Amino acid sequence: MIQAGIGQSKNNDSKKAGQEACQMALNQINNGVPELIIAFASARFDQKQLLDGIISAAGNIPVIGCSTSGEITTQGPDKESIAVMAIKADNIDFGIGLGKGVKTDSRAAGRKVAEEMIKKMLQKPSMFIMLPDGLTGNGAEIVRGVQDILGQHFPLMGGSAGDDFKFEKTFEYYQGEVLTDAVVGIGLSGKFSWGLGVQHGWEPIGLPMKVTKSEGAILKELNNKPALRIYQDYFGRKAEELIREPIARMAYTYPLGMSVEGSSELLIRDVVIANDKGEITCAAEIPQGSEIRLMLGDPEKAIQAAKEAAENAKSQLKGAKPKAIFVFDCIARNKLLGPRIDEEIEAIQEVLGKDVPLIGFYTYGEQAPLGGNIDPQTCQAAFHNETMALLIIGE
Amino acid sequence: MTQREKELDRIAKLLIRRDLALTEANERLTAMDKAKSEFIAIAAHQLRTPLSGVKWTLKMMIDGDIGPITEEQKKFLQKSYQTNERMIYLVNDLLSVAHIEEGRFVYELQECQLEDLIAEVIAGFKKNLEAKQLDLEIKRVKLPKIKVDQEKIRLALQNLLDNAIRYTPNKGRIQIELKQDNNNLKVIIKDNGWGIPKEQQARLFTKFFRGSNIIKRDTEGTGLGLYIVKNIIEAHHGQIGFGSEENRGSIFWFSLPLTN
Repeated sequence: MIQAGIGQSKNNDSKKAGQEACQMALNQINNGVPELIIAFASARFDQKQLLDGIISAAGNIPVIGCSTSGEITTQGPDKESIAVMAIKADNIDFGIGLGKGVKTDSRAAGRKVAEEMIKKMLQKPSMFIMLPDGLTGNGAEIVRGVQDILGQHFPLMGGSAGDDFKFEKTFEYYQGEVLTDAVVGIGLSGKFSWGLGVQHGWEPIGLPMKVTKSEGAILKELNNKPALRIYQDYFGRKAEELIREPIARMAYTYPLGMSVEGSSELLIRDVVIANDKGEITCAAEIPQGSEIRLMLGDPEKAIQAAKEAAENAKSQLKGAKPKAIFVFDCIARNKLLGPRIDEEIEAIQEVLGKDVPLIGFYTYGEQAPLGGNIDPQTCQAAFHNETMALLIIGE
Repeated sequence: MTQREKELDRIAKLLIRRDLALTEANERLTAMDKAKSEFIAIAAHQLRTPLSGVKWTLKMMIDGDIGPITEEQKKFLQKSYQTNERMIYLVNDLLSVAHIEEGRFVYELQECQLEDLIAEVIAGFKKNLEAKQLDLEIKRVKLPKIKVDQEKIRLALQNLLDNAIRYTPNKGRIQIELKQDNNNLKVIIKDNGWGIPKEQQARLFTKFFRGSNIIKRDTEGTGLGLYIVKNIIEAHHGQIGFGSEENRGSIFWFSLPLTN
């Protein structure tokens, strides 16, 4: 039997906020002690105090989580709060892991988090939830590192930690430790069902362009011209303006999309920063030779995409009753939807049920199988941007 | 690049530039709106305490608790008291709007009998109805209990009935009907008052809206009531609507789901 409880607090006293939210989540678990505490919190809190508060309520229960750019619970989207899920499941074995040094070697950090998680599990996991730092390293490489250990076609989900849209520093929580430049993760094994959905709803606009020079996440040339020219041309702005201001703030609703095998939608790449050489650093790699398009968002399509992601996840549950929902939703979608942000979560809840305990956060990147495909032979997890990635756990 | 591709590229750039300009304008306006709301919340909060102080001081003077006063002095003090009361209503409306916009309007649902709540609200307006010699008719059937935030629904009903009374001429007629409509309870408030000009009806539920025909007759009113009502009803997952014809009257209705 799976039980999940959700707690939330906006107390300005960081320790009390952690304690209150955790206690609220624990109070909803009947009969016995939960196996895991998952916490997503605003970076505005004193992170150490916050975690101390959680642990003061959680005792010996393992705690894992990260900072966010907004929290999501069964009550809907919120910000500047802490959201906690307490989960108890007789039929699921949970194991947690930590990988440090994402900036130095993203792939090694990905391998480390998976290795450490496996060591703590009785059997090989059937699902892995990862929470990497959203501002350092190469997100796609972290995913690859995890795949090195768990297998190329292993289904993994997750969201990159945020920091209230400040793009300064994110935090990862592992037991009593507050880390940065790290990736933490949860392995799940046992007899339970799960389903996932991955969709964004952004539309390509303008003509396709060829990536003629790139190096990892650094996009150097498009159609043999400096990569920044794409934004100069489309925005009608000078290069200096785009370099001086963080281009991320301006371009989050106009990301880049590249076609990949296994997904009917283009894989989105966020632009993080530009330099005076006209190079653009993206949130994850864009391989040389790729064809990319500029993408344009539309609130209606974004909400529809969330609904379809929920429907896909539900169909994979094959009739099992949803017991807990995890939502990893890009901060750019939050910005795109603005005052309509509630509608996206409502669309999910209309499909999956309004009373099913739900936790999630607004991310700086999402990790999920392309096209929501979980076929063990063809599933291909990837690093996404601007996407709604959700996971349901059922009996 | 073919001619057609060049054309497509040009249009795409135009579209993006226009979209970017609108997005940036929207962000600026949202920030300004937020600052304005914060200012209103602070100003209203700061005003409420002294207004309450004035209210109780005037009340004590009118009641003769501070010392004897003449009938003429009493009349002036009563006028001051009424003006102060209107200021308190205004400040409360402003605070309600600020709380709605900050997401701090907390709802606590409890089972209640909607017809009892309406009876209480009507009783509170007895003097106003008598003063204008209005004919109030109530049509109701036995309704099931419903889960609502009683204080908020009371506030919504007060606003709707206050409008009907305020904007209906002396000796006019107000009809209130309660009924069950499938899985909803529906409240209809109809008057034969001055109505709302057709061209202004689209802005009816926006903040600070007041009909031009009303402003000419009645200088009071904040224009916040219907905005607050709409938010309260929608927070209960209900629906609100109206119909109106200038100089013929208005009909306002809202429905609340029984499944809240």
